[in-house]
Amino acid sequence: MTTTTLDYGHGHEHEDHGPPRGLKRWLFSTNHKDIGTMYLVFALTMLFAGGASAMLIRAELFMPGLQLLDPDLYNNLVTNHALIMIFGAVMPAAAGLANWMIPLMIGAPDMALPRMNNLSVWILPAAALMLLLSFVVPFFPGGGTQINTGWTLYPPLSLQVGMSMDFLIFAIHLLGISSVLASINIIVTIFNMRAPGMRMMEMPIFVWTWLVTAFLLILVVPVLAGGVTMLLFDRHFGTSFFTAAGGGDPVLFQHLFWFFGHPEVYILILPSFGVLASIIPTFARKPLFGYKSLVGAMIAIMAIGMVVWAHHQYTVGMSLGAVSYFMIGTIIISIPVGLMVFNYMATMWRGSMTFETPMLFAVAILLMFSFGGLTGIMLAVVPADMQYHDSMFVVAHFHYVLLPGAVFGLFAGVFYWLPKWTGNMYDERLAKIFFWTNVISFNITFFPQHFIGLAGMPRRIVDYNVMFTEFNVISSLAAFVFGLSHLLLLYIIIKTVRGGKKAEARVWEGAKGLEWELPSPPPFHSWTTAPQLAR
Amino acid sequence: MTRTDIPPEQRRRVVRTAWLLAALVLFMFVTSFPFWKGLYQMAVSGP
Repeated sequence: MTTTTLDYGHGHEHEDHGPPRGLKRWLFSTNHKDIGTMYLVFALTMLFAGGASAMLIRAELFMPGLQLLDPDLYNNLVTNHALIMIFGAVMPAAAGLANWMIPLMIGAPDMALPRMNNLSVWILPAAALMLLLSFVVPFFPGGGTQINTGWTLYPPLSLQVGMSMDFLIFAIHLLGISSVLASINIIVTIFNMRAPGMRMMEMPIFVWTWLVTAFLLILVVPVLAGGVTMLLFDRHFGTSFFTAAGGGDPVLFQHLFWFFGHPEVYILILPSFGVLASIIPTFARKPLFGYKSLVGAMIAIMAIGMVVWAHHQYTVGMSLGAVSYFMIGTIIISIPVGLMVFNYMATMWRGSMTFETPMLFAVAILLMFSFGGLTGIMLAVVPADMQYHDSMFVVAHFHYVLLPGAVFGLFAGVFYWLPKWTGNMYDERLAKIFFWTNVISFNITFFPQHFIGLAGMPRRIVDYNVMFTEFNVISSLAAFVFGLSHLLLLYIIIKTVRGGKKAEARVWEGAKGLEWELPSPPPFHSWTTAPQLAR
Repeated sequence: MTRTDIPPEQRRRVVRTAWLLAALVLFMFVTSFPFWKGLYQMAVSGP
């Protein structure tokens, strides 16, 4: 690969500037790498906050009866756990990877709209504060009742909750604004900032996954914003969108929520699948199998994923025609998702595979995510879902989809690119200990929940029948190991940032792509001279 | 890197695309009020 200098009369190289010093570097940053780092640090912080709430939930469920939490606080924690993990941890972490890697991968000097990028990231702490306030306000005099709706915020319950619901609605608005701004930035960057000669069908799959994700975000987040705005109006301004007494219908909110909520699943999963598309060819030392079909599958997932939302609400009483349509659509979506999984398996087929930590995560993800997909097909079937709905089986299903499909993919990405970001190799032995502890304890935590769900244990209930005790004890013990294992992840990251064996520019032997042409760590301003692609 | 470093033509393209996407966001937000309600009524009024 050769490079050529494009001079816009600036007079000197951008590397000459170097990073600004002190707090200003972070507060006023327009640099995609710094903003990516801020996203990742924020996400890690929220991961521990969401994890702490999960530990409290599992501590309560350790034994039947009321142990530590009263029922309202339990439901408040359930609500906050979901919102923190989805909006605070997974989405910002994926945005962090996007900020760091997309400009490096497409040969762009930065994101297309750097100041808007700064705004997107700095909205997040304000939103997190609002989210925190929604949790703690009920504990103060006059603070009203706790949020006991779950993350779905269904009325009429959400219309009856105290002022904490208003804080939550504003938090969702802020998080939505941040996501939409980041998505616009990503799409504009991909469309307009690619290196000269890089065609769309030559972009790395990670960039494609983010293009699809960003489009999904700007299509569905405004609908959630519309839904919660109507909720706010019903609560304070006398409207009756969702109030039956005023001629409204609470079920309408469910449709609005899941029009956002179902594509949100793909929003969480696709960036991680993009990470896998980078990792698997590297460690299988083979080109990615079926590039064009992967792009097609993602576009199909986006299109079909937007029109199958009501499978989350079969039990609400829709017409037979409607539930049949949503069932068939949901099952059809397993075709493009399965295609992505099979493409990754075909990439590994007869490859010279080695199993460094990112590859271990990649293989584990394919196995565990496929299992989550299998229980997803069970839940898609209307008569079966009537039995499974709102049981612990659903909890087990979506944790098998979202932990491997989203969170583990992000962990894999962090291990894969951490040497590139920091210039230091991480401790492979510790990373493998983290992998095995994490994956084994995850399975012991969530696998038994399938059985207790099928046996009839409902979710979002603080107490349970004594017949479910054994599996809950196992689940809680493993959950504590799972939660604590993330401290090891934190230690590995801090250790790598502080030092370690120096990483080469091409950190992994089989790695291909523009990002590996830059030194590790890349200069503060990279690709100031546009790369010329070899033909 | 700041915006001024982008060549003017590219900058115009960037801003134009951003405004188009912002218009799409606004469209989705505004139509979420009446349009989805109509679609929902279609879904529940079947056989």
